[in-house]
Amino acid sequence: MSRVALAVLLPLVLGSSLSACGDSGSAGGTSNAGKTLRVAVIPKGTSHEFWKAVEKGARAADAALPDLEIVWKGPQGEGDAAAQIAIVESFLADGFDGICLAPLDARALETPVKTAIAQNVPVVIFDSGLASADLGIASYVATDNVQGGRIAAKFLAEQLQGKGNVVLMRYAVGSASTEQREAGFLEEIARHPGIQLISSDRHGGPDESKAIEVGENLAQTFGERIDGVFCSNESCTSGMLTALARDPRGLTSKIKVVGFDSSDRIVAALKEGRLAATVLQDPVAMGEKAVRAIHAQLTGKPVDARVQTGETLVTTQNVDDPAMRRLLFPLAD
Amino acid sequence: MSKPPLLSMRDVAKRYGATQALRGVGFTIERGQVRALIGENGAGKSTLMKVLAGVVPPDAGSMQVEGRPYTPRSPHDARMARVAMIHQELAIAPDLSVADNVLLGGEHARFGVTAKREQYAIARAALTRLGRDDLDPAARAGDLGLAEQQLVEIARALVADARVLIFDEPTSSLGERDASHLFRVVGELKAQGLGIVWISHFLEEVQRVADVFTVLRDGAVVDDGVMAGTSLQRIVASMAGRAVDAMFPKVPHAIGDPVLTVDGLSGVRAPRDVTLVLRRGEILGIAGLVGAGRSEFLRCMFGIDRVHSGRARRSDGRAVGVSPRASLRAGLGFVSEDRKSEGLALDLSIEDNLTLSHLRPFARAGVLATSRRRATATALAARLGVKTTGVTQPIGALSGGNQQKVALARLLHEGGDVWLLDEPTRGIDVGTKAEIWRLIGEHAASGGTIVVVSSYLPELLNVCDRIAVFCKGELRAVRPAHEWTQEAVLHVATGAEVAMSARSDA
Amino acid sequence: MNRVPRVILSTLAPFLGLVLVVLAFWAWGCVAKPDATFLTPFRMTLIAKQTAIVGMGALGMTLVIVSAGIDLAVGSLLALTSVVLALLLRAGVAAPFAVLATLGVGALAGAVNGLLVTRLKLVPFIVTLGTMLLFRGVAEQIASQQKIATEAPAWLSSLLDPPPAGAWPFVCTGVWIVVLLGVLVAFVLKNTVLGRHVVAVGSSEPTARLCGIAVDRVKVLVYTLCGLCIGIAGLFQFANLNRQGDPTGGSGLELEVIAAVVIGGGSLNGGRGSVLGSLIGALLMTTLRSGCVFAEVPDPIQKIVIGAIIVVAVALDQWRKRAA
Repeated sequence: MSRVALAVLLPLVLGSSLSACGDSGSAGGTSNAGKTLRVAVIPKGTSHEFWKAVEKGARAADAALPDLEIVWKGPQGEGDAAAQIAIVESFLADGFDGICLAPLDARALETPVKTAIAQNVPVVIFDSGLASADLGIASYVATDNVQGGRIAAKFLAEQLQGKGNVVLMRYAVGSASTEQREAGFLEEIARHPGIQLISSDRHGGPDESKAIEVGENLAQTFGERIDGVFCSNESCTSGMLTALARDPRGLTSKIKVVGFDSSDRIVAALKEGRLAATVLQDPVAMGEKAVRAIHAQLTGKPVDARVQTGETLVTTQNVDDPAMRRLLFPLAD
Repeated sequence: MSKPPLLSMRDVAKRYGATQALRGVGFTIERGQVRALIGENGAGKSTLMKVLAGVVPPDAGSMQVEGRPYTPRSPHDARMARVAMIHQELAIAPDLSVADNVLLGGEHARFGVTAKREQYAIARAALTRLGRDDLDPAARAGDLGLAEQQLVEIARALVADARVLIFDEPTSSLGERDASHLFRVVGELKAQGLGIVWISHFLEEVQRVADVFTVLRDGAVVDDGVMAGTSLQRIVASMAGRAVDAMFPKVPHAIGDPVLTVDGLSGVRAPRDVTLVLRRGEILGIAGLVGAGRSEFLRCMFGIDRVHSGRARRSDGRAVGVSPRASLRAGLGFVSEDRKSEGLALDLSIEDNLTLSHLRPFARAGVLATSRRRATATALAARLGVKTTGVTQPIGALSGGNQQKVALARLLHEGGDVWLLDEPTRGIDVGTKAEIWRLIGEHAASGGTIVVVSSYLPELLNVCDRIAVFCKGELRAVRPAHEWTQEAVLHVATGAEVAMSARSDA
Repeated sequence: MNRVPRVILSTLAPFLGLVLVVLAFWAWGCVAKPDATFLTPFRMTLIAKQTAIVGMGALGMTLVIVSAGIDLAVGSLLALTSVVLALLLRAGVAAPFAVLATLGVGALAGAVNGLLVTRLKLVPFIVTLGTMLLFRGVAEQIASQQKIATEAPAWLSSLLDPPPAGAWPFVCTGVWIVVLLGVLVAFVLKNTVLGRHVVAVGSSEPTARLCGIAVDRVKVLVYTLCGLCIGIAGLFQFANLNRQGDPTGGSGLELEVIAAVVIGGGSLNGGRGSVLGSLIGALLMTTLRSGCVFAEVPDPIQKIVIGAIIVVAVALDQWRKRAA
């Protein structure tokens, strides 16, 4: 039911005068001075540090924009698309003015997004995209994940001097951003004929203890044949590092691991040389740009359909650079 | 008498809501005495039992064991006071061993660790007292037969050094041979000075086992006396509160053409190669020991148990025994001996239970005409005299006899002509039994055919037209009922090689 | 006497299954991967290690299932106990005390399940479905929805670190703990009054009541012991995550643990279940997962295989019961 229809029906039901209709009818329209715009920002999860950093950026934008107010709410864990759909729907029901969403599933989340757009609630998608391009979303704010994967592959190939066996530990089926990283990685690694891909069908998943188990089983199966590993997100990188560190054959010093994203564990591994490099996104910028994009849309300003937030390779060499520190410890200051 | 009686009960009363279940009941039991407790269902026997066993406290009155006040608040208290109960639905943990069951709740242990050898010795000693030193204390209790499980429960009471044993319908699920063994065991226990309360519907059995009797009606003692010299007629009259002219009413009926032919029917284990012709208007009784394959025969015919070879078919060619659904369509109806788990859905209403197997008459495009269904159910319940507050009452709230009436009423509703009844009168009071036999007779008179399994020979001999005797899965003999005697049936049922002491010896 | 074959059968079937699975992977390796073998000592220690958490849970769950109960909250409780441990250590509590407190929290949570089941006379399935969410919520709340990383002494953080392959003590400390506790629980179940009472309650609760057994006390104790086992598994989880407590971890663990017990011959109707069988059941599932990576079986096929094995185990059990 459209907001206008609701606004007409409600006073009728309450038996009050129809004059109220004029006031509330304009609420969904363009700008209205003095009224605070309420925007829901919905991450994929709330427990990973990545999302804490996105939240930091979003809150910074919130503080800088006096006519806007954000509510931050995500599903528990990172596996439950149904829970995320329910969250989007409840915000729509609450009459929020705009929504920023990092969809857990590229297809499943299209339905509530369509509903929102049909109700004239603008939507900014961040972090990872939806399957269809023609939904009419206001903007897509994200890292170029394919590029991130390419950077990782290029670096790994350099480290291995163009030859060796590599393993790809994937994250999960249906997660668009990590699948893009994996695709970028595979695309780039294929350009190096000396490098063999010996395993690319294992998923570490969002639960780190599962990722550890997958890492252990991979290390056990391919053992000393492995020269390099790429893991496409934080929990997989962390799990793989833990699995290798426990290996009694000392695989951890032999194998070049390239990860994606960061955490305290990952930084420590970089400094100890157990991790060759990790690809960093700029989650703070992502949160901030997403909120600014929705604000621009709601206040009738021009909005870019695609906003890049950048991707950077941090290696054991440059881990202590101030510029890297900002990306590595987005929550530090 | 210098010594106080083993157990005495005086003026015991108990009220459940509006129902006065017991009103001033009293009796005594001496050492080495068996007191029969007789009464129709609802007469207050089960409440009395619960009071004795410490399951419910009495509202008024007093009890004493060996002269000391006895006020049990739990079965455990009763056990401590050396009063033990042998339940109709046996209290056995099937996954534990015989020895563990015998010592359950009274384990011999050191620091919580059970002394296995000692436990086995104790269990074996108790079983020896019961004449079954051949039972392995290490055997899994669930693998034993019902009669053996009952002995395990009695052994448990002996190990707890019980002085008073309460038997609740102890022979209701036993065959003749096992029942006879139980009577011998009770004789031994008497000789060892135990006092016994014996609750039973089988009056001949009571006559044989008990020294004294108490008849309850409407929660009060209506008759009390020494068994020897008391006629069955007197006991039946006091139970019913009226003279019951016939315990097994006969409805005249004529036997007609064959309606169903059984040809070499065999199940997986039983029955074996049964051939039989059933006729219109006939009541066929099936006798035999427990495990002789009687129930299996009915279950194969109805299609519950798998038919291994042979077949059964109606005279018009319709097959039966393929599946319950096909058998229902072919005009068969079945009442299981285990009505609680197989015959009735205890949580559902009388109405649902009556009509569930045959809802089509009330359905239009899958939608039930509820008022018509209710009217039919009410009429059926009334026709059979089901005592109820209404057909929406859950069937679990009814007495056993009334539940059985509902099970039979369902057969009437289904409209089949061939009824297969497995132990339809087990655990049911005399009055209801007579009503059920009358219903069976009426069905035969209206051209129906009934196959009825019973472990209670007197009723088969009195009511049936023919009696078939099973032994070890085989149909050993079929003769008109008047050609059989109890002795002859037992002779065939036991395979002729075991000399049986029948109940009728008494 | 049919008692002996029954006992052997009920442990033998899952054991045979395990042997069969190992042989299958080994044979596949011989044919398809001549340069590698499935049966390396290190893979064995690894599989043992990966079984530690589920195995520990299966010890407690065996008791619960034998008593005709069920505990769906074990996965959440694993998260909760690992978070409690991490938080206590981060707050500077000495490791031995933090461990004791963690075990206490596990036992307490189990006791809550038991008390709800007995005092409110609720069905265990529903009670533990509720506490499953409850414990998960508490874990996420106290952890502020983040993994809690901290430092810990080596004896605690190395619980699941495998020793050098083929050398004493062959498998990690955690596995030894599972084995020793397994022997203890099996003994308790078979040879103690408590164990016999647990079987009696699960086999026929009315009988147990009539025999004067404090049925409610037995049930509370069983759930408490299960919680305690999960407390120990929580230590393993903390060590496995490299000194972290994860409030979102352990989801789905309850089903794996129940599957292990059922594969091992446990009956959800109560009365039957074997500690050895449950541990073998847990081992079987880990071996399959490890083997599927070795044999390059894709994830979905792996799930199909494990699911089929659970169904076969239950069907076998039914068949055995009918044949007996």
